[in-house]
Amino acid sequence: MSASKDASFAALYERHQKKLYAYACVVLRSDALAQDAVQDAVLSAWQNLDSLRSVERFEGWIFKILANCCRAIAKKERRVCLLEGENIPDRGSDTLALSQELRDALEHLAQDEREIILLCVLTGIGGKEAANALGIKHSTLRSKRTRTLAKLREMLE
Amino acid sequence: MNTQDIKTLNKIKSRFDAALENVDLPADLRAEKLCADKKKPLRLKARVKKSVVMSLAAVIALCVALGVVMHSSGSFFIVPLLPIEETTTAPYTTNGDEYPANFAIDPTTDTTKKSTTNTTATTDTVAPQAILADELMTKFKSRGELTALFQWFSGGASSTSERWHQLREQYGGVFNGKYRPVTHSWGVYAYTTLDETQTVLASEAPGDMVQNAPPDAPASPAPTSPAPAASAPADETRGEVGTTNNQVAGVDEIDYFKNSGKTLFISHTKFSSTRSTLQIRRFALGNNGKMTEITPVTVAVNEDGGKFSEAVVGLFLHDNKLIVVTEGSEHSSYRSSYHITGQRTTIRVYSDMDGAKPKLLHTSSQDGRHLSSRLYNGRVIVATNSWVGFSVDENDEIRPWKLIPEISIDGGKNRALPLDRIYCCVVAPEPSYLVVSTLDLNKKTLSPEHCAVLGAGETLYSTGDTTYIARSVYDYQENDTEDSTTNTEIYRFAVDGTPRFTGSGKVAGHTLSQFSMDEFQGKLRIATTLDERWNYNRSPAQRITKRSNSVYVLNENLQVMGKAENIAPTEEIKSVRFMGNTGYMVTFMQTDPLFVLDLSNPAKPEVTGELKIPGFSTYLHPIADGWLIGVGYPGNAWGETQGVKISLFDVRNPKKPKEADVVEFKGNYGETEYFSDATSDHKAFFSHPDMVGIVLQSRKYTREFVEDYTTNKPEINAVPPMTAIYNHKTTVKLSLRTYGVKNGKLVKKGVFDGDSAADYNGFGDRATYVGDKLYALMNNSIYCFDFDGTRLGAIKL
Repeated sequence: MSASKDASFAALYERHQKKLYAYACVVLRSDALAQDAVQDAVLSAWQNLDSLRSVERFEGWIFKILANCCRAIAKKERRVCLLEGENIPDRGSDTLALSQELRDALEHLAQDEREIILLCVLTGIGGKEAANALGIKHSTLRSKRTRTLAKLREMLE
Repeated sequence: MNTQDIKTLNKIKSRFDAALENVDLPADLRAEKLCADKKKPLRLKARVKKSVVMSLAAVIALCVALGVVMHSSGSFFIVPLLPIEETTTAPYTTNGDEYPANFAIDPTTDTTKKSTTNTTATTDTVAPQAILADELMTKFKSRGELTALFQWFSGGASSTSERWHQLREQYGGVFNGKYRPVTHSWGVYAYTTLDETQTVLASEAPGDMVQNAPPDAPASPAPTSPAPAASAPADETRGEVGTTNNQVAGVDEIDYFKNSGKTLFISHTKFSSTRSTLQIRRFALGNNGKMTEITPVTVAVNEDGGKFSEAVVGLFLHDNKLIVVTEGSEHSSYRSSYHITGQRTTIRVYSDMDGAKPKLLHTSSQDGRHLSSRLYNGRVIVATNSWVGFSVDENDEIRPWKLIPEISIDGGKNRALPLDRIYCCVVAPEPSYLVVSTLDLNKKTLSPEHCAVLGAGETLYSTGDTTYIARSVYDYQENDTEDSTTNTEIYRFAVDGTPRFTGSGKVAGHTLSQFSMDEFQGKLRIATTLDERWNYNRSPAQRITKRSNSVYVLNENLQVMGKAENIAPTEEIKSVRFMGNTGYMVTFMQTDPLFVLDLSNPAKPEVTGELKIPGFSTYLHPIADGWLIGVGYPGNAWGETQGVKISLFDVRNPKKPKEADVVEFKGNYGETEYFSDATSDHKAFFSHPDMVGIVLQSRKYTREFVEDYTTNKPEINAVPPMTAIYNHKTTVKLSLRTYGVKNGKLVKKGVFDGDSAADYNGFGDRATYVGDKLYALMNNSIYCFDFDGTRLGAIKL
């Protein structure tokens, strides 16, 4: 593995590391799980670096991987909790210094809604790419985004 | 999205942005940590509480962990110093009490050529040896020779880790004499053989070289016409058979593509998920350009995770025998990273090369990385560089495990080279060996013979009977009163039978390639560029101003007997060719002077003519008396180069060389670009009695509009760094272009196009011929053409 490839991957990751972590924290509502998710995502991104077509697409590409990792971890988490016969624990993440109001608002969103909003506010990727990252249709993303923003507006008023 | 939505989004975005500023990223997630390890720290998830779940989760975690470890050791992750495995092969222990059998030489006794193996060293011999070792060590240290060794070590893996810095310090200790075992064992070695070599050298009468030249060699090939010597005699009806474009006619050079006249041989590696198979693919040549693949010869199989893996270096053909040379290295986790040796070059000989089932007749291997190989009069000459092997044990003690290069014949046990086959080069002791072997294919029983000299090599030139190996050394001047310079050391071997080291010499400057050397009437001519490329006390500009070029003529004792120095100051050699009493040299800085040298008086070589043209040639090919073809790069008066250029030089008047004609493929940067491997590899140059040619690679870049961000995403304030996406497309096409010479001009003979492809996979840039058919290996396909350019057949590899 060439050193330059190593270095450029590290540089690209560094540019997005905080955003990636923030995304995972909010989606998974747990710092520990978020850490797992980002690690999984980076590892998998590194292994599949060949599938990245161009460097310009790095952001959309790595967020897609992270979104999938978060989903996988959330799913596993739910299963573990069900096995334990417990309710899904009420958790929170203090990583992001957000106002309580915004935090509550985000808590009240469904997971897919939260994903969409996070991609819109955290990344610079376009609608089409965001839809691709989340594995949904562009039209679905647009309508869901409108609905979620309306909800948020109401809660944040 | 309406304005209301955009406002809401921007509001949330600004809050997130503010929060992001203050995110405290866990240490494990920081780029420098995460990307350096690419490994997930192993820890049980905090969320698991109950025991039943615990076990379940533990299994998951374990799987994840194992997966990670597997990935990490598989491809990109180098495991830092694991505890050393017991090296059972280590002939030597660290405490200095025991010596390997072949070190058991008493330096006080007269060291004749007899090796006194299988005796154990007594303690009496240790003391003088140790003293000598110290002396030698000081000498080495001042020469900076051994420093190179641990630089190699520390450069061999990611040098960022702390462990490496520690190791470095440890090694620093070695060379300060802290670790005696290594140093004195090979000090002794150097001592004993030093004496021996002097004896050997003294016994070799001056002028011995000339006697070794083949007065009795039957019908030495004519120097001008490329003889199809090394190949099997071709079928009469098929006419002439093309050979590799060799430097010296009749001395075949190793290549991955060979032509027997009946069959094309191409070395090819087949990869699968678990193994790679080294094959020699064979294509039988039928009439009318039909090519049929016949059963490939499987040379070796590298299993994934195997201990030893090989790669084919190239092949030779001789008398219906196929000779395959491979280079391999050991993969045991420890050795591959930190041991210098463990590299081995293997020669395999197969019978019946054109037949259905070639049989393996002979295998032999010698330690070291492959340097170069030749085939002359049925003798295979192989040279390798073999480092003295040692490792660091768990206490960071140096533990040598292979002090003498080993050889193995027909799968037999590895055995150390007998001491009387090893020489010490007085000029430059070095913790490595240059191993040279010859294998006579004409003998009934195939048995290679070896010799080694303490030293190392970079470029190899061979006349078939004599082999010269050169390497550049940096002569560092510690006191800084004199300038440090790069010099070239030359090792000479007689390879007309049992290989023998016959002397060494030294000239100023460094060589460019094998073409920098040439032997004529027992004298070696060598062209060098003298510069200070490693002298970092000077600025790059200063280094250039001190640059100049020279041609030296060395006598039979490898002493300089004549020289032409200070040719083209500030420029550097880009190509050289010696032909009898004349030498041609191309240097380059901004324009390309072609120098003509008169070497008829070896004591006084001189520049007779000079021609300045833009661009430069990297390969010079003599076509007829007084005419040269140059392949290189076009350029402009500012010294910029791009594309490919073929020049025809008229050197009939040595005082006034002329560029008679030129063909250029310039292209435009970023749109169409041209390359040819012939500019860097003379074996890619196509040579035929009537024409010469190169395989030209053209790359066309096009882009296709895909999506415009600005129209798709007007609603979000965050303006992405780019506004549109394009699909970039590359089209690569290889074609063989041939030229003849008529009335002092280059005449286009033919354009032989391969198919276009999305990319060039780097494999295939060779062309050859059999009778009136032309065969070209271009971008992974073999094509057969008529000489008028009609494609008769093609096979994809």
